[in-house]
Amino acid sequence: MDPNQQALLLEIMELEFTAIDLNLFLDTHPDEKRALVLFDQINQELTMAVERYEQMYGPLTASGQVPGRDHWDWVEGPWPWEQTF
Amino acid sequence: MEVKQSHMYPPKMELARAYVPFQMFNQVLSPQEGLRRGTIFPELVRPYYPQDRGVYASGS
Repeated sequence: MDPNQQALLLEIMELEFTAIDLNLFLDTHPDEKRALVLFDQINQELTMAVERYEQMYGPLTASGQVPGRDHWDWVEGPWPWEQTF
Repeated sequence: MEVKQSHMYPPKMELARAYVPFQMFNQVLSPQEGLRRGTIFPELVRPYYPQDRGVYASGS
């Protein structure tokens, strides 16, 4: 896999993990302002990273299909088992 | 009835008491570090080394 694609994918994994961990924290601390601020920031970075990735390398999930295409891009690789980190 | 208790615990520990301290929000790790360590909260980092089992571990 192209190293840029791999790096961006790793960045998305890192941001997703951070968002989930903050999600869990906020479940028990729903009024913790600093966690809320950080969640918003991470979430925004994640959305942007996913958008950037999908524009360059294709959908990360089936719902990432770009509208109006005449090909179902989701079936294109690489699949998770085709990668090594 | 006298109940025999394990000597592996500190003295005066009552049965059936459990507690979980409430976590506070402190510094968090970067997303890069967080994914590597399994948590973004430094106070929750618990590396797992199967070879060194704790004193309470049972089994052979």
